[in-house]
Amino acid sequence: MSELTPGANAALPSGDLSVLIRHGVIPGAEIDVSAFLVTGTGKVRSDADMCFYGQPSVAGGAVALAGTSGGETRFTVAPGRIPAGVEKVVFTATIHENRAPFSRVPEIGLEVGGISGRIPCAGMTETALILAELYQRNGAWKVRVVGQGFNGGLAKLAPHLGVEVAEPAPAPAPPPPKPTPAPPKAEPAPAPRVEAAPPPKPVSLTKVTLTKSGASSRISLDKSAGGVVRVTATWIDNGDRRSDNDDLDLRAGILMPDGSMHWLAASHPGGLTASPFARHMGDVRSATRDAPGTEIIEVDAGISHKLGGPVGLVFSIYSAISNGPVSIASLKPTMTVEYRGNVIRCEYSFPDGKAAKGVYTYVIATILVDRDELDVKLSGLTSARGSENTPWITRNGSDLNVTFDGAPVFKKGRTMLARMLGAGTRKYANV
Amino acid sequence: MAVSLSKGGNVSLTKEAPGLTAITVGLGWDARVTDGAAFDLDASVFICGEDGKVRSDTDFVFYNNKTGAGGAVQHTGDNTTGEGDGDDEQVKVDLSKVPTEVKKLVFAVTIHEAESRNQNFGQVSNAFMRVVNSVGGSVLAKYDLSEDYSTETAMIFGEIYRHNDEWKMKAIGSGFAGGLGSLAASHGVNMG
Repeated sequence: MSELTPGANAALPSGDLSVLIRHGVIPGAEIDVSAFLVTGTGKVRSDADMCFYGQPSVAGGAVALAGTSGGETRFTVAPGRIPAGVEKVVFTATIHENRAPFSRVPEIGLEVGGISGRIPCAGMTETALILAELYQRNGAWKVRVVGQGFNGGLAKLAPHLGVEVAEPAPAPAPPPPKPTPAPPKAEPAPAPRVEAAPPPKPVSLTKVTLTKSGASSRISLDKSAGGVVRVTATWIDNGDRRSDNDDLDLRAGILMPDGSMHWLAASHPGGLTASPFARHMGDVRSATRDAPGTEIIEVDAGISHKLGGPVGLVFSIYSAISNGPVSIASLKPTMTVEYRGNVIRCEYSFPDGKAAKGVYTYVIATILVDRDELDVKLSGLTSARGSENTPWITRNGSDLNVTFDGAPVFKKGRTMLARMLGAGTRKYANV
Repeated sequence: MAVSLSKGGNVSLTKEAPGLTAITVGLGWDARVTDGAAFDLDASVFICGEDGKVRSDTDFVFYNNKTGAGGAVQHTGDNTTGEGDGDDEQVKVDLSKVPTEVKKLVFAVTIHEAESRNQNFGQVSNAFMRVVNSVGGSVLAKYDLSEDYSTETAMIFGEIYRHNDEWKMKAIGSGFAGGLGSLAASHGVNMG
């Protein structure tokens, strides 16, 4: 049997199939091969229909990624177990971050059910390719070699296959009008004091509760005493009687004095004895109303001195994907910043309801540590619906600006999904 | 109700629509959704006599010669991308004015610059040929070629032919090597 070239099709034998894709390697550019289960409209039913290395078995094992090595990727396909409604299994190859076009490999080979195919790649400018599709015709499965794709890579291929890409980030909510700061002396302790205005900012020595976006408060750090600043995020069970969907994660991005960003999360715990002089104390997976879920990040009070300049931190709450559609807001996350008896509590009421659905990241607050002062500012910004982007900060004098163009960061195994969905391009130095 | 033909099948258009006098033959395909050169498919008609050849070069109706058989066959124009719903190219045939010595009209579709663009029919989605009654607009027959092509760059989609006193349509769906030029030559067109 002659080799199939792009456009050609052939009938497949019945029974389970092994699919071998010989894509070769491109030095300095990673090739990812994936399979998408699509309906008659050519789109996936959900992200669960994407078979890639972060999700190697889909549709109850009907399509599975068996492995990649030596420039070859193997899948197994059990056509008899593919769910009704799925009409095609589309195999794709994409080049991570569009670092090279497919012309860098001479050809891509395909073997399935005793049939071989070949896609010549000379002159190709595409960075994402549909290699082939297995499809049903009159109740029997066939294979067609396609060899067409997109110059724009995954960002163009994903929507073609019905994978939603992040909407552009909405404009952040405008900060509330600046309250007129009351003269410090006129304010009896321990009444909370809140202000949004830049300096001069008096230093609070009492408990403060921030509730409005943009509100901020300061704590003086005692250089001689040292110690740690303890940042605690807390959330409750959302009351839906399920214990498996209360898994929120506290994460932080650390803006180093040199402008680079360091990622801090349960998966990237950092440490107090060396840079970044901050550590994540570990992942907590569930919460109840009586025993709220808590995750803690400790920051060396001398971080600014040790890293040699002002350090910014952005603290956010992330809903793990396994939560499903649970709204982070319904878990009422709050955060406290404590240092030697000074407590600043961040209690923003994140909007719940429809608008919160599909929002994965809520920024609780930012902290700027400059020498011996710590400035906490309540944020309340949320990522765009469907976006896995991470919050990013830039410093402008004593102000930290939050944007949502940080690269997605997932727990182990989700990196391919990040590539699928992520529009954020700014990279953490340690991820 | 339109008759759905598969490769090799035929249908009597006259029986489907008694008193049929004029038809529109529509050819369609889906525009390319991936990056790269558009699929520019061209419809052509060979107006053939008893011997299966054109009677003269003017019986080869295509994008540069839009009328044939004294105006009985009219090509409505070139669509270079396949954009839009429904027919992408149409040929109107006034059956009542087709000369009696004409025995069949052969409808072919070729891919423009297939070789340099590295394209073939297997990369084109949802190609079809259909016959519509020009009076009333009902679809008499449709032939969906999707699985009857592979790496061809020129194809005979179907024929409209006389059978006794009837006009019939036959679904051909066979590829032809060498593109429009050799397809035309094989139908007796003098390609000089």
